[in-house]
Amino acid sequence: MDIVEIDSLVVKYKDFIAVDKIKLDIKQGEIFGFLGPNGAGKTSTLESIEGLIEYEGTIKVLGYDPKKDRLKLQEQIGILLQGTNYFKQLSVDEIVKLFASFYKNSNYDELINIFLPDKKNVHFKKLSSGQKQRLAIILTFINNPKLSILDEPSTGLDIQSKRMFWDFLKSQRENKKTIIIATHNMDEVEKLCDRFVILDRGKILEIDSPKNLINKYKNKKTEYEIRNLEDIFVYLTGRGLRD
Amino acid sequence: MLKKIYIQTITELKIYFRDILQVFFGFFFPIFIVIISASVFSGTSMDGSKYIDYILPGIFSVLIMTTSFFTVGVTIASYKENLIMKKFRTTPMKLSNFFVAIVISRIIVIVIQIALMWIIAVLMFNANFSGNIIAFIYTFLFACLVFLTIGFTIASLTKTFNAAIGVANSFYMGLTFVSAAFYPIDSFPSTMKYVVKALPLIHIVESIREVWTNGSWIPFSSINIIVLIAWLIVGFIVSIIKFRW
Repeated sequence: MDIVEIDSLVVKYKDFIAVDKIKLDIKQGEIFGFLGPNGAGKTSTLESIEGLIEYEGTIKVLGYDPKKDRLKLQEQIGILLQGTNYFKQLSVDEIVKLFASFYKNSNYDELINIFLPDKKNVHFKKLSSGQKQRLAIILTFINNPKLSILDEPSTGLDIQSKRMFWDFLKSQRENKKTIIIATHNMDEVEKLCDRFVILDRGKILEIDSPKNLINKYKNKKTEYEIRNLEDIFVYLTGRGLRD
Repeated sequence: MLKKIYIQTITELKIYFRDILQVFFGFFFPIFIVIISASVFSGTSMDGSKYIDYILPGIFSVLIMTTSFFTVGVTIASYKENLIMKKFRTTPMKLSNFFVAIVISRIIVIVIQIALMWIIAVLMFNANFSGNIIAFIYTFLFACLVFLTIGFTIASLTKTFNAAIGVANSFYMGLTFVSAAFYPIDSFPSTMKYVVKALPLIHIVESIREVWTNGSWIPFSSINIIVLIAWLIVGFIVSIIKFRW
């Protein structure tokens, strides 16, 4: 069953085309990765799925049209944004309860125990950057979402937190929850994702499982040896700096 | 829905009262200013009223204005800058609930500010409220509505804390010094009086002063109310059109 169906998606900012007629489907229970250099169109695609920006083309998420049914859709999905700061005057518990109040159904005690044990009464301003990211993760999963969309979720996490977070995502997958991750971390894609897409300049360059893609490119004759996803990524998107 | 608004209102109040500097400059600093100025000018009278009775409606008006501009306009702009508004938008939270919570929490703050100021003015300087309390509440709530709407307009026109501070300060300085908050408008040049009369603060001051000293209601047909309703409508329309999460 497809949880996300995207057809002919175009996102424009004035004359700049950020996403150019992409088509892809994401299945239930899948961890799906978005890879691409800066400005490739990852965030624009995700924000279209989330119903946050204007777009052309067709998107169905959990059967909803994000343009028309944003509030119904957001009741059932979780979104992790990059770089959000919360209220420095409030404790973890107060911030979590505020966000929980937005949903019809929420469950946060277990999430706090997993990601921020013993920090319930600590104010946001006293959290480390890794702890702040773990709070953002709690807020993303607070409504037990059917679909989670995570933008750079491992940013700021130490190795232990990252591994624990990955285990948490795998447990979500076992429960048939669907997860979308936009990341620059190849390790995350290789170890977690069932399939992923490489985007560049708003277009899809490849879409497959990490294993299939490595098999496809490992014997390809290039100026340097292709051994892993990062080599494939550089081969497809080039070595030049982006914005 | 009411529970959601209640939780957001309580959250906004916690955010306000846990900011020590905000509480100091919102509560104690204005009281300090009133004590100093009323002590210095205690023997003088203005427009036939005791000095304290003349300036208190002006102080109340400026308090409503500053709290509205700075704790609505600037606070929401800083929420935008920190992506809190964008995070709100990723949830099923309704923007209308957020706005209602902001309005209720700010009115509670302003009520406490004015009540404290009133008590100090009565106890220390024998301030004399000779008006009708219902008329005062009606005028007060109307003043809050006008300035809170302008606060939302500031939030709609700005994306960052620094930009909002700049806009709010310009509004604040412009309105405070070109109004009859602290001195009579009669001393202004005649052309300047037209400019003053087009701005909202003087009408709020005059309305509250009228209720404070004479106890009379401001009729809806008065120029005060017409100008304020115009500001309310324009501020509301600009906020609706320009506001981005």
